[in-house]
Amino acid sequence: MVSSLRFLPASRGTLLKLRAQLELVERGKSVLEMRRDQLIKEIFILIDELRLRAKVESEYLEAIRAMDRIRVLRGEQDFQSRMALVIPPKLETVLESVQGVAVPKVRVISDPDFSQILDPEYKKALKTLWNSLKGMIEIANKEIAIEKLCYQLQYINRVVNSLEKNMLPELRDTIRRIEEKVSEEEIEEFVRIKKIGEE
Amino acid sequence: METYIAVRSHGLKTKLLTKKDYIAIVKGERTLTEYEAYTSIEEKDSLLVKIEKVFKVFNERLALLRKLAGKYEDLVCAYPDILEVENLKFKLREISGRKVKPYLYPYSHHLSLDDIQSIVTEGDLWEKLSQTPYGKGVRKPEFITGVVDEKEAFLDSLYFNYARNVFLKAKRKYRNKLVELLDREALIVLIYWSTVFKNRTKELISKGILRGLVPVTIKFTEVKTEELIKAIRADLKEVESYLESEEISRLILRLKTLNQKYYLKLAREHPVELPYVIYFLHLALNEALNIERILVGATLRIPEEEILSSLII
Repeated sequence: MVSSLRFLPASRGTLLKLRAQLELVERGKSVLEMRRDQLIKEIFILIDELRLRAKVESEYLEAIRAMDRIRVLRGEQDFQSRMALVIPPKLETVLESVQGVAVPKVRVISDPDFSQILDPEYKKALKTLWNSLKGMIEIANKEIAIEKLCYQLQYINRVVNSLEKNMLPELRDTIRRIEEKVSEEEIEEFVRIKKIGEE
Repeated sequence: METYIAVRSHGLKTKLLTKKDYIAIVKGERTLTEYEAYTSIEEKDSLLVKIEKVFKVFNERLALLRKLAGKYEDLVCAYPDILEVENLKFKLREISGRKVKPYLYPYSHHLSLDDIQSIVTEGDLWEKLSQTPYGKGVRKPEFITGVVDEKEAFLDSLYFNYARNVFLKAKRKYRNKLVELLDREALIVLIYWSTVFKNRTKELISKGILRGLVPVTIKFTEVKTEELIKAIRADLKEVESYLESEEISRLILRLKTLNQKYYLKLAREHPVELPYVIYFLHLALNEALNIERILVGATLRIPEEEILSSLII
């Protein structure tokens, strides 16, 4: 692709404009690099928190197994009809800003209501299951946040690379070219004026 | 007639699954459909349909005895009537909960399944119940907590009161033994409710909510789970761990397993009389419940050993 910079007139005004543009691009690049570092830091924090996943997952599986054991011992009808007494939790999906990136998040509006269940075994199993499920929801929220932050990081990397590899060298080249041309023209002008003075 | 139904029960008992059969089914060496009684169960059936078919087998076995029972019909039905009460509990949970239509056991005696399904409010339920032998002449008590469990406990109490009255009409020579057997079952149920209501159990008994569960032939010193377990002559040390970890299902399973020997003793003492029929019905109902556990366990991929340990054999 032929850059439009090639066709710029070699003048002092253009040079000033291009220098201002270079300064802006360099500043933009450094801001993007700072943002990239910030995102990486955030991703690392989230990844660190994700280390809990194995523990939460095993707790969840254990809770499911405990529930299954009760289901076998009490019978399917008893289990299903008892579950009809539990008022399910209310969840909603919201968009949350993590480092300026919109991340969908599942938020628990209200916990399930087990107040109609007095059976200690059922109650304990249900509470354990719900707590582990909440842990799983948190993990899922973190995973989706990491995914979205990674997409953003990828995008920023592309922009920084493009600035670094294309725009900045091109701008610098153009500035150098115009500087040379302007300086040649100045010498020419100086020589011309000197000759006129001698005559 | 009594001798005849007892003899028929002997015949029917030979068709019940044995321990070997259960192990073969759980280990997958044989399928349930290979057994004559359960050929109607198909692999493609849903879990609930399979369970329904299993209980239909129990129903068919009972229907045969009921047809032959004549004047003993009420006595024959008193034991399996617990399924009818279970259906009422499921309905009660539907009314008090999220209005999810419950799956009912395909069994009816005093209330048809349509009658139960047509119940819409709790008032309807108590009204319908008052027209049956379970609730006839019984005043609905003032519930203390108002939670479903309290009402379910009252239904259990009504059932045992009713069954006790039915058994009291049995012949004098085995009447007390039958009542004692029923008392043992009632005591297990009372143990269960004592783990639920804890300190309030005594109050619930005095208010008449759990009165039917108090055995007349078995004495206990205090209304405390541990004391009740002692009264049933179970080894408290053996079941202590279940109590500590709140594994109520395992506790009840253990107590029911321990109770088996009393059924067997009664059946040996009266091999051609009504107690044998009750013994057979107990085994047949256990078979249905065991198969239900196997089916649920297999669906949930529970380890074989765990399924086997949940059976009453």
